[in-house]
Amino acid sequence: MKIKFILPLFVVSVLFALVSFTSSLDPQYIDISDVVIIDIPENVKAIIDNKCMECHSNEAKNGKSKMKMNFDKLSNGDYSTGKVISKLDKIVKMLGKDKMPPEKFLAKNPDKKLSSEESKLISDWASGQSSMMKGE
Amino acid sequence: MKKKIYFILIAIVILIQFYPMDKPTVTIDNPNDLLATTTVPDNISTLLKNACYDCHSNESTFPWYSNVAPVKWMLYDHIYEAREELNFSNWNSLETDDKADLLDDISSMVLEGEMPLKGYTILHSEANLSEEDRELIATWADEMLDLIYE
Ligand code: HEC
Repeated sequence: MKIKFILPLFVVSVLFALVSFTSSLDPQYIDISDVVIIDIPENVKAIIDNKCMECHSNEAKNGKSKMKMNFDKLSNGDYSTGKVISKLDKIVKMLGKDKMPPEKFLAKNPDKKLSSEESKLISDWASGQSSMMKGE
Repeated sequence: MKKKIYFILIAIVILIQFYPMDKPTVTIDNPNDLLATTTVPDNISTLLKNACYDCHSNESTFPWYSNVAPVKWMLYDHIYEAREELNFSNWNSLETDDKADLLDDISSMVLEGEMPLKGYTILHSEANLSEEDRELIATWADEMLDLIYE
């Protein structure tokens, strides 16, 4: 009875030891501390996909808008921490001033206008994410 | 006939000189200046001084042509507006978030060729940044931005 109990315990601990030993040697180990992966909830992502990505994504045509704000880079971890925070704060600022999407663009694409609920959803998400990253 | 046109043109140029416009004030001693309060590599501080400080600081310089209308109107206007948006002379008095916002703008606007303002480089060849200069400024701004939130 006693041996029956000790044996599996022994096997398990040897396995644990092996796993921790090999993982510490694992050459594939990646330090992800510099990679910022931010979480965009589905409802927010849907709005951004529909109303922002035409100008602010990897697929957008090159230019100011893509250079200043690229949601693909934001969610892929292509921006460093400081950059992500400043982009998030800019989202809040621009939406607060009702500056995005720009009027010129809306004149041709009236369906891309953000409703006040949509604007608030994005804003709340961005400001929450930003304060979390600042450790507030 | 030709004489008359020249005369009128000269008269207009002389007359517009009297149109009043306040010259932006210049202060040389700025305790909150970016370069006075922050360690900035020499090559970057030279680039910023040459290409940005005329508009984005209290240390604007005014060569003779810059005090002649109509150049004067444009330049003074640009300086007022530029200082409003980003004044390196007040850098250290800015909130952290505002510094971050501006550093991000500096990086993208310089890379994208939006700054220094186009017309300015015609008369100021030292502000004519090469691709390499632009990369240097952008990389510096991105690094500063990361230090801010460390
Ligand atoms: C001839 C004057 C002039 C020069 C030189 C100049 N700028 Fe500007 N800058 C302006 C004006 C005017 C504005 C505001 C209008 C605009 O955004 O176009 C501005 C806006 C900016 C902004 C945007 C600030 C904001 O909050 O939107 C940044 C960043 C900037 N400049 C950076 C630079 C940098 C960096 C340099 C040097 C490489 C530079 N500028 C050189 C005139 C100038």
